[in-house]
Amino acid sequence: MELAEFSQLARNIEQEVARVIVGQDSVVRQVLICVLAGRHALLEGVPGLGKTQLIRTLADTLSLEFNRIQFTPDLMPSDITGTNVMEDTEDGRKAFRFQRGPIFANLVLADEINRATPKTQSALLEAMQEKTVTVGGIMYKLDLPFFVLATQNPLEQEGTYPLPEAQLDRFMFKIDVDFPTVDDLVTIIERTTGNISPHAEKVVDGAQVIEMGELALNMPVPTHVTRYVAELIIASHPNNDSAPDVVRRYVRYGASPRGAQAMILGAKINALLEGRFNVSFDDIEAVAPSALRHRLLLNFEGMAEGISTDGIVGSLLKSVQKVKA
Amino acid sequence: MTATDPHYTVLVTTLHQWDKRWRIQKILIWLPRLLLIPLGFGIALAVFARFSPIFAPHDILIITIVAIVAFMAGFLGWFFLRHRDPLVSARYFDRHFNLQERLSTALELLDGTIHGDAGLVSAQIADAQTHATEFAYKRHLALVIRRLDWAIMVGVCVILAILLILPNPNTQTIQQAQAQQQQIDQSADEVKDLIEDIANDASLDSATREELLQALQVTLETLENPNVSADEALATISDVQSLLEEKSQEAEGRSEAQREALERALEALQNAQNPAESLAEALQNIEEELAEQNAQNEDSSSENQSGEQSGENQSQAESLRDAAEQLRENNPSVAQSLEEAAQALDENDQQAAQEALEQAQEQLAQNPNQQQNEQAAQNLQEAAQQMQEQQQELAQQQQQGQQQEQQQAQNQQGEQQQQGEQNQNENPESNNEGDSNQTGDTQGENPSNSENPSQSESDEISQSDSENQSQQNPQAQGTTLDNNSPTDNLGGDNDADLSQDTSGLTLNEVDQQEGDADTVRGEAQYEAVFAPQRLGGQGDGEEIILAPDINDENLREGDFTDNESGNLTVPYNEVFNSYSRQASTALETGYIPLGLRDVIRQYFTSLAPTTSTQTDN
Repeated sequence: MELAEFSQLARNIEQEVARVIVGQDSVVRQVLICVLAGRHALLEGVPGLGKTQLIRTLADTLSLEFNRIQFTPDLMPSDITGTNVMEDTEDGRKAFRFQRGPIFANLVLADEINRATPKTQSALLEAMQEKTVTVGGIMYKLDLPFFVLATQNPLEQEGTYPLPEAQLDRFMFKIDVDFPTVDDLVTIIERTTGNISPHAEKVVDGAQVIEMGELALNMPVPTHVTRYVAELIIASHPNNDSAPDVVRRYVRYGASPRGAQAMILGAKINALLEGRFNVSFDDIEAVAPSALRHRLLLNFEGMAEGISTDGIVGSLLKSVQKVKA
Repeated sequence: MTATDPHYTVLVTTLHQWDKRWRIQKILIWLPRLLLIPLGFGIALAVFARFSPIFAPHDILIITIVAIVAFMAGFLGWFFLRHRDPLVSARYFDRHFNLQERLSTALELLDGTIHGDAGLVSAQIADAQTHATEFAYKRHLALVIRRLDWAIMVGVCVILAILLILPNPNTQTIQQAQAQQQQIDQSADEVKDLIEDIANDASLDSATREELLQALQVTLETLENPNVSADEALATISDVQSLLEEKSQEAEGRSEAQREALERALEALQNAQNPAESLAEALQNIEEELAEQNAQNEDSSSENQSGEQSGENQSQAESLRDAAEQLRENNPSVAQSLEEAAQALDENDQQAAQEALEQAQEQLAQNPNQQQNEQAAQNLQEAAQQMQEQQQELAQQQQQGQQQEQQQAQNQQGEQQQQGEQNQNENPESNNEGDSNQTGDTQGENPSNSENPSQSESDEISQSDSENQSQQNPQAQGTTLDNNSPTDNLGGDNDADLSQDTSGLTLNEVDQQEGDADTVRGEAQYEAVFAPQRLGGQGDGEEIILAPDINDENLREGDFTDNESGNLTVPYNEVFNSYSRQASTALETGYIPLGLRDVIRQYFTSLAPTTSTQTDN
């Protein structure tokens, strides 16, 4: 794929999504980055902000097989992965047949993922990491591209189960969906209360998405930017000497290496989406909150004082020196 | 791709241009700020110099200029000569110009540090080059002269200049100290010359030379010590001066002894019926007589020898033996020759006696020992004279320094003191009192003895100072110390000069100045000290008799039955010995300045009990 084609396709995707989703450009960009990177995203926001609509619209533009899983407390893992069912064969015998679950799709919407029990949530671990599903001793490969776009309500709400750290770490980005502005809200009202509902056209298919991701992986990253990302990750650990005071005071565990991978990968795609051919510090700063906010585990003091991980990430970005010249 | 890639060259060239521009911009910004550091340092020195006599204004100026030059050289050198890698510059300018790491990525791609898709790499390098060449770096690196910074720097310069221009009360003290140090250095040079002269002086014997060289070497080491004080320099020069004078006197003594021995020999010869005026002539006469006797002996037979000739020979032999005995100690070679001549006369060997006398005459004519002694004495006297001059100059420098400190102390007094000084100028009598207060001692002991030759030293100084003030500068601002300076005293009364002579110099100086009052130039002036050698020496001899106050009642305590009239019962010898011991103890403890010790010793020497005194007592 050529750069011009990449840019054109990316621009088209954003334009089509923007036809349905009002505002939320940053959220759309973050989600698109995850899709092009072939990774998973977790969208968090109060109900009614269009999280599900956004993912559905994106699935429409990508021309990918889309499944939605509504996570409820009584949802079982087999409801996600699928199960072996006994059925009669043509020769009249009984045999097990694997009934695919909704996980078998290119784009899976795990809606309100934190309303299911941790047992059910863990059913996504293998699929999200290895892109395989094992049922009854048989491992089934998922079709590529595969990515899970999950939504969740804030943890403070009733009937929610916080995602385990291992689960959270498998999401490339945790994207906060903010409340729209007045102008955006007016536009939303106008679009959704009339007879004509906007609809996004298909722009790319799965193969093109994969090619776009591969092209982004070849984006050059200068060494000092890579080092900056590594120092950010190191500084996020409270027991490290380079950690800022806010990290030492409020953070229990810092970001994992997956955080660094997520930042570099997201920065590469962000640079391409910005029309550049190299990763800059601006790209890192653009993706760092989404890549790190769910990977920083606050301690009791941090949670008690209501410290935002976004604030800690901001402190990290300021404390780590970019250029030592 | 390699570093020789044209894209790489273009990028590096562009970066060099930016870097050069950036350095100039930074220099224009930081130079006035950095110059504030040495200027502030100079101001601190100038302020500090007003409280402590450490640096003179020109020293502060030099130090400040050196600091400025050092700062500028260091800053410019470090800033301009510091090599910065193109990649480092690229990273800096990427951030500084918001180029989003285009240049640094391109350079790393070009030098192979990082890799990527070929299409992406080419596109990235082209993109970086486009941004670099089209970037208006001169607009972003504008050469801005911050007038406020430069104005502050100029203001600080003005403050420094004002501090340097305004009169500093410590300046004269510093100059005085520098002059003292210079004088000490000069003294050290002259001591070096003395060491060379004495080392090459063949007229000195080895022991004397060694002793003198050792003493001079110690003096030289003391003078070359950077921390030597004026007192120490004065003391060590005084010591070596004393030693030189002692050696000179010894040499003169030896020469005098020889001369006396020769004179005694001459007298002995004259007493021995020889009318010659000198030993040489006497020997010449003896020789001539012996020659005549030889001639007569040749012409006449042995029968013609009479008993008179034999007696005459015996008489001459005795005279020669007496002369030899006189010369044996100081000139043994001549004495030996005379002994041989006497023995030849005893043996009636006229020829041998004549030869021995000729030899004695030659040895006497040479007389090297006396010449050497005289020359050594002269050399040592000259060396002592040099040391004395150095001592005088050092003492003068030290005295001027003390005067300067005292004047500063006076200048720091309030207006009340100044008004008092003005009153002194209006009233000479009160001015006298002020002088006496400055000299500090015995004012008021005998205020009515202005013509009394036995008045105290301080009174003499006070009187002479007041006279000098009233004559030379009737409107003097009370700076009476200026009148105490030696130059002022040169034009003043000789009595005043001589009275000051004894205030701080050695006994030798006093002796010299008594002989010639004009030689007081360069003397040091110390506090007025009672100088007993002046008593009766310069005055008109008027005797002051203290009249007892008849209204006062005599205090009578204790038992006076044995001494009803209250006469002095303690012998003067005991009083003198007691006070003399106290003075000796004080001298030995070192509390007395070196320059005053001779004065004190002479004082007690002058008070030593004599026969008449004992009789009076």
